[in-house]
Order: sequence, then structure tokens, then C-alpha cells
Amino acid sequence: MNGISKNIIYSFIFLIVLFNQVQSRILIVQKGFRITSIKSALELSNNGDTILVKRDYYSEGTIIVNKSVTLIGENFPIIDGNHKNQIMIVKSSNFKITGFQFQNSGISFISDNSAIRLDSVNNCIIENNKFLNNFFAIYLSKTRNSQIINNTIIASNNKQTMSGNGIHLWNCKNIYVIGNKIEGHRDGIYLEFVRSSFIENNYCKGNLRYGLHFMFSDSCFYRRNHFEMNKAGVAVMFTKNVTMIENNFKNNWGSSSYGLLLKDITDSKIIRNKFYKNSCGIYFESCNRNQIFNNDFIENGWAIKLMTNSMNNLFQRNNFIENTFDVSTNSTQNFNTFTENFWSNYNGYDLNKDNIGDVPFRPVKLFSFIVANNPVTLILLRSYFVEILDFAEKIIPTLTPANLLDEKPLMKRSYDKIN
Amino acid sequence: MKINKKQILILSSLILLSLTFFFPIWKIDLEAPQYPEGIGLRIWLNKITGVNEYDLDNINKLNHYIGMKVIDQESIPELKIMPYIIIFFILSGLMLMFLNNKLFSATWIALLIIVLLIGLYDFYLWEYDYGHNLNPDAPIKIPGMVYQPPLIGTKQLLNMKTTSLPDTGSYLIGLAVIINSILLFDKNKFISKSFSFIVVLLLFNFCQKQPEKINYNNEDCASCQMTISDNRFGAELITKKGKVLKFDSIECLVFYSENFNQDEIYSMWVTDFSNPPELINIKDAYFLRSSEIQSPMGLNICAFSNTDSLNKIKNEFNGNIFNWEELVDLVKDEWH
Repeated sequence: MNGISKNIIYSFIFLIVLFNQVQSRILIVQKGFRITSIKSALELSNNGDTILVKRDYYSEGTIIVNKSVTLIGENFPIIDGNHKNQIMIVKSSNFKITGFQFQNSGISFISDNSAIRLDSVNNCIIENNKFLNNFFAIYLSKTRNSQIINNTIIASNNKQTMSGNGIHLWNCKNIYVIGNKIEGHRDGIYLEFVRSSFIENNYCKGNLRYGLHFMFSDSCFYRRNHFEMNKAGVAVMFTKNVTMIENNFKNNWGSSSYGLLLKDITDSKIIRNKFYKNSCGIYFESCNRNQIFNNDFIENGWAIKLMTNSMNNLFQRNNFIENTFDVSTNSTQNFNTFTENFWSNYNGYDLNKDNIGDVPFRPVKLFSFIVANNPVTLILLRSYFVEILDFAEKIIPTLTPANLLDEKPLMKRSYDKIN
Repeated sequence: MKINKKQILILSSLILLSLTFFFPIWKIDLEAPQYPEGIGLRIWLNKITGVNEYDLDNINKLNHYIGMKVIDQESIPELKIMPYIIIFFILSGLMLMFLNNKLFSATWIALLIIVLLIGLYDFYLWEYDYGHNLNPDAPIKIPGMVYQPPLIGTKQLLNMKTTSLPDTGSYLIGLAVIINSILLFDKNKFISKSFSFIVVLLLFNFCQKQPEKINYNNEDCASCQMTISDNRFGAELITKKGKVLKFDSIECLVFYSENFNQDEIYSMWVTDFSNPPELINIKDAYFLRSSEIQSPMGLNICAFSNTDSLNKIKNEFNGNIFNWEELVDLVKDEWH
């Protein structure tokens, strides 16, 4: 192709783009001017238009969006549901909303009322909005290829059962949930029947149940999220091919709190996460063939609780530092592998200086075994009697799983990664 | 000598009475973390035993710490008297068979009921005595704490959940009273029916184990360990021992109950979707499965106390109506 024809084609493309630009208009919503409500702006608009909403207070019942428009709020105009309604329902694809404050969506026990609900659409973006005191904040059902980015979602519902989830995805695919901050909802982020989605850099704090909760959601990717002080941490169930990388699980403390509760999880990767000060770092039940690499377990009550029905999990190069119990299990059988982990409770020696301890380390203390079967005995923790018991068991293991041991305990904390 | 139907009935009631020698009349069960198997007492007409071999010893050991007296059947005169009282009633009952005297049978029934009430009151006094008269030199002393077990029902004593209920023997005596009462009011069908109905109801209430309120967001599901948080779907299973297990969803209850010893289940409860958090017995519940209503464990089952409220939701959200057996099949299919 020579230069001239290339230029002609380029200018032709430019004209098409320009023509399209001319076709799409900008409508301005402002009290006292031509268009005073979002609803009437939507009625007047065509697909591809942009609606700019000036800062004000809008209370319009339920706004139903069935055109592909872009809604831009200037300085966070407030859209109020007055505790009665769903605030916005989106039924058309290619919709974008940014810069609004949604508040007070109605509480309903029949339908999961939400501030904004996307229903069976594609290619939508919800970005940079604020959500205050909604029942559910962002709710996506049967939606694909959409993004939920940098929203702030806060509920201060003191009535415990009156709270829905912050970001709720049901039956979705290819959703990007990135950089949101969620506080005070039932579950911060909830996924059910979701496929291949990315959950990154979200911050979930102080939610009533779980910071993150997903079920039946295969092949999703969770990276660099921060889960702190949620009532029960993070729960993950009935799911295959989960990848959890570099997340932070912090201060999930309470009688039934877990950093991460895993139930029926298979073929998944848990890599470079940090579990700090949780009642229980990770709880495994019926989990098979998972790789747990390079995680830090620091100052937890239990770093790992491993139930008998979990098999073929590989724990490699993790750091177990200052946990009350490193590993606890409820049987004398073990079908999992621990290797090359660093255990701060290890007091073996390394004569050949290869950074691998010359005696294997048994992370299951006899006492943790007793506690697993009889929780009340926890009161004896750190008593002289228990120390003696543990010591005796260390020398001649009889009750604890004989083959649950780390043959190659590291002498120093590991910082090198396995990928 | 001809024996008529009435005499056969009287005789059968006396046989019931004599059977009380072979069954305990009262049971006290203790539930405590240090006895995961449970520990309990059985009070018979003439003796007190433990449920398991060493239960009585263990209970006495426990009681010793809080300064309770040792439970010793030798020191309870009632155990010696009671068998004779029952024998007296059996013998006088035999006279009932052949006398056919209204007044006599009325007296017999009244006497029996009075004796039962006295027995109950006496039992209460014993419980009071054991619970209040504590040894001042006990190793564990809690000011103001009394250890009186409940007469009927459940009570938390320190770390022990104490459940006291009539046992088989009491029901046998109750049945004997009912049979003879019905015979007494034979002329008037209505009275006899309503009377027996009331007695049955009373007896039923005696052993009625009520569901507990679910403390949402603070309790975990017994089946899936999830924190129970959606008050439209909570469910409960009550065991014969009176233990209450709670679930976050109806599907969890179904799944758990199917893998649970069926003989141990006393009753099961689900939340009325139209009136949360009220619990209704599964026998009175109608179930709907609708994909529009998302339940905590994804099988989307909700329950209703009547067909009106069910149809109202069904008209709005569609879905299919299930009965309990169909739910069991559904959960088996979905979760295995």
C-alpha cells in the first residue's frame, strides 16, 4: 500500500470517528435549567450520548436505564433511595457511570434491593462512585465483561440482619473488580457462579460476615486485596482453579473467625499471601491438590487447621512465625506434604550449613491435638504440664500424625519465590 | 365369667402400670464440654442409675466440687415407698375390673393423679434440697449460685446444660390414667374425647422441645461452618437429647439431616420466608425453589407456613413447589 492511499484511508477513518462524535450529544442535568432530572435526561437521550449531572440532590424513585449512555456526576451529585427503592437498574449494555453518590437503597426481604443493579448486560463500567448506607450497593446478575473500579462503599447499619453485600456478583463472567473500598456490609465482595473474573487491590474492612466470600466460582483470580477485621475473614467454597496471590489477611479475630476458610477447594494456588494476627490463618476442609507457596503466617492463633478429609495439598516455602499453633489436625493420618518451610518454633541444627535443618520438624503439637478434640482444654495453654507433654511427644510421637512433618525445615526465613 | 371390652381395657392399663417397674420414670441429662458423649441420670421407681456405666459416679464427683450432697439411693426413702404405691394401684385396679362402680373408678383415677402430683412436688423438693444445701467447705464456691436442676425443661448450670424430662415410666402411668378416664366418661363420647385430647396435649407439651432463636451473624452453620446471616433462610435441627443444631439454609439442614442418625432427630425447623425470623416445623412447611430468590448455599430453597403466602411469592418469582422428600432427593443430586 503506498503512502497516499494510506492517508486517504486514515482520513476516512478520522471522518467516521468525527461523524460519530457529532452524532453523540452531551445532555446536562441541572435544577432550574432545561433538564432537571436524570429520568428525563435518559428519556431524551439516544444510545451513545453522555449525560452530565451537576452537583445536587436527586430523589427519583427507581431509575431504569435502557440506553447505552455514559452518566457523569460532577462533584458527586446525590441520588437517594429514601430507604424505599432500588435506586438504579441498568438493562442495556455499554453503560458507564462515574462520579455519583448513591445512598439509602430500600431494604427488602423479597428482592435484594440494591443501589445499582446490572441485569443481563455486557461491557458496563461503574467507576469512582460513592455508596452510603445501601442494603446491597452494587449488584450484577448475568453480566459479562464489565468493570467495577475505585468505588467507595460504606454501610453503617447497626441492625445486623439489615445488611446486604457491598459488591454482589451472581452468574457473571469476565468481571474486573478493582480498587474498591468496602466497609460495614454483610459480605464485602460476594461471588456466586462467577467465572474468570479478576478481583484486585480491594480493601474490605469491618464487614459483618466475610470480607470476601465466593462459592461455585471457578477460575477467578484474587490479587493484592486487603481483608481486615471482618467478622469472619474470608470464606471460599466449592470452587476449582482459584488463584490467590499477595493478599493480606489481617486481624480477623474471634471464636469462629478465620483468615481464610476453605471448603471443597481443588487445584488452586495460594501464593505470597500474608496472614497476620488471625484466630486461624487458613482452615482446610475437603480441599484437594492445592499449592500453598511462599505465604507468611505471623502471630496467628492457629496458622493452619487441616481437617482429615483434605489431601494432596503441598505446603512449600512458607514462613510460620510466632504462631500459637503452627498446624493442627484432627486425625493421626496425613495425606499432605510440608517441605522447605521456615518454622520459628524449630530448634534443630544445621551442621552442613546448607540452610536446611538436619532433623525434621513436627509442626503438630500434641497439645494442639488435644485442643482440637476438646476445645475447653485451651485454658491449659503455656502451662508447665503442657510443655512437658509436648516435649515428650516430640521425642516419641505416638498420638500426633507421625508422617506430618517437614523433612527439610529451613533455618532462615525464606524470601525466594516459587512460581 | 365373661370378660368384656371394658375389662380388657382396664387390664391393659394395669399392665402399663406394672411395666413402670421396668422403665425409668424421669431423666436428667447433662450436656457439658468435658463430656462430649453426654452424661445423665435415670430415676426409676426404686433406684437411681446413670445412663452410662460411670455416670452416677461422675456426677457425684462433679457435685462434690460444688459442695452438693452425694446422690445415694439409700438416703431417699421415696424409692422404697414408690413401688408399693404402684402395687397398691395395680391391686385396687383389679377390683375396678370386676366392680364396675363409677364412683370407685373416679376415686381411683383422682387418687392416682394426686399421687403423681405429690410425687412431682416431692421431686421438686429433693431438687431444691440438692441444689441449695451446699457444703460450705466446697472447693468451688460461687456466691449466689444455686444448682437446682429444672423440674421440666432445660437450664444452664455453670458450664452444664441440664435437661430434665419425664421418661417412659411417666408416660405409661399417664396412659393408664387416660384409658381409665375414657372408660369413666364412656356415656358421653364428647367429654371423653376432649378430656383425653387435653391429657394427650398436656403430655405432649411436657416433652415439647422448642426451637431456639437463631443469633444471626454470631453463630455458625453446623453443616457448612458459614456464619449464619440471612434471617430468611435459617433452619434448626433438635435432637432427642435436646441439643439444638443451627443452619444457614434449608439445603444445609436437609444435607445434614440425611447424614445424621435418623433415630436421633426429634424435630426440624425452617424459617417462614414471609415472616422471618419465625421458625416453623418442617411438617407444617411448604417449600418453594426459585432461581429468583438466592439462598445462602445456592440451592435457592425457601419455606412458607401456608399456601397463600407461598403462592403470592410463586406468582411473583415463579419456581417449583417441593415437599420434604423431594428436597432430600434434590440436595442429594446437587451435592454429590
